Amino acid sequence: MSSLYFNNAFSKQPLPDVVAAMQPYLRDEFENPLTESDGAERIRSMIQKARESVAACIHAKPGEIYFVSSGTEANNWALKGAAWNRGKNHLVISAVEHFSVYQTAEFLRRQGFDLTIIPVDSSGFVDPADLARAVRSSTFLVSVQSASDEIGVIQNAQEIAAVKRRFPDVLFHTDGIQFVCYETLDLRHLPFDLVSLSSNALYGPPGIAALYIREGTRIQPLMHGGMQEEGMRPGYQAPFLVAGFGKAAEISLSRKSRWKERLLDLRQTLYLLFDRLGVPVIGSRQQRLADNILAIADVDGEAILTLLLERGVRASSGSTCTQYAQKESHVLKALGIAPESARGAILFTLGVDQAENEISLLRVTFEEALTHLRRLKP
Amino acid sequence: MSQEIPVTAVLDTFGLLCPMPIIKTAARVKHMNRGDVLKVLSDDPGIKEDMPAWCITSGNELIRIDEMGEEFHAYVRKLR
Repeated sequence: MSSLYFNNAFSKQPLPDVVAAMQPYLRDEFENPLTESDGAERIRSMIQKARESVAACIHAKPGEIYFVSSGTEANNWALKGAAWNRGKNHLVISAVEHFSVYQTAEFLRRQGFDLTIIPVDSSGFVDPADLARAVRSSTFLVSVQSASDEIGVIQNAQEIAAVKRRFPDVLFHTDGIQFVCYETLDLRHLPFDLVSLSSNALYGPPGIAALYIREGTRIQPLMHGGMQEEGMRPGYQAPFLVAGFGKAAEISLSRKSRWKERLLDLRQTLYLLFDRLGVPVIGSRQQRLADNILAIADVDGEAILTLLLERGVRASSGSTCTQYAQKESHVLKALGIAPESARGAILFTLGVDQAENEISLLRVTFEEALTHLRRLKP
Repeated sequence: MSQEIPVTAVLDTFGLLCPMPIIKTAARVKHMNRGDVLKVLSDDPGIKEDMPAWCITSGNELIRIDEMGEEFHAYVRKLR
């Protein structure tokens, strides 16, 4: 990949070993795993191995992992599947959830469910006391992401888990998609019932993800009419994607500590630059994903991104949805960032194969672009 | 009030529609001993027809199916 790519929260380039693991299933191994043949048995065996690898990432049992098509589907399934259990009608989410949780919750509200959105403080943290106060006897689900795709802030899983222990009958979901690549989510000790994971966030192929459903947890399927994934997520799995996801999970589990350490070092040099240039980083610096740096410049974010792009630097102004709609991010709004300031948002997400000289180039290019735009300010 | 049936194992097929409750029942019964009783939980009304039919064809005994609101509890005794 061309080096100056800093959009890893949106898409990560699959690792070479991941691509190699997928190759046999693009042509040679093509049989439907639900049929009876040696070829089908080989695919079943690969799917089981991949399920074990994904489960190992979060210390779960393989039978608790259900493959789906995307993180968005996993989040939709968690919320709608729990809502359709019948009997209870209230759900709680945080104000900084990914759109696939936020808008699904809003959809359920329009369908007649009660929705409580828990605020965050100026660093991006949910107060577990607010969470506990929001839970009612009619609450069926609480959903708080492990870490934000946009601001990178890592919520305090232990404190949220303590709330779950107070309300054992309420299902707790966490969107762990960005978190699991560099951090440990140990479900032997954290009592989450539902966890969303994504292959691409682990340097696997896009088009496949997973929902963890703790053994004994009841949710309704989103789709019906097939026997795949124990009937809970029917539809012919794409074996090449499953193979890639499994390999990515295996690699990420073994390398995440090294990856994290390296990214923290690289990011520190960007922190120093931003501090020198007077560009504030948004959200907690301490409890933050190692690859994420979201800052607010005192110039137009889109203008600076355009200048960066002219020099080959690919970054973003925030979530894809917000960027395309040119509207204020609900996440930044939740942190108390004024709309006019939010227009200066710039998001860089680093990758594990990023070289130090690429960061140096980014530093130079960013400083030049910012200085140029500041000179143009009235 | 129905008499309580001592069960050997419980299989929860909540959320699943035909044929999954039956497939899972068959897989579970396969690993049980003759005389054991499996309690199958389901929210699929189709189980009222499917489970008796499967018990006849598989040679097992359907003790009864209780309707608990929108949930069904089927009791299957392994005979073969």
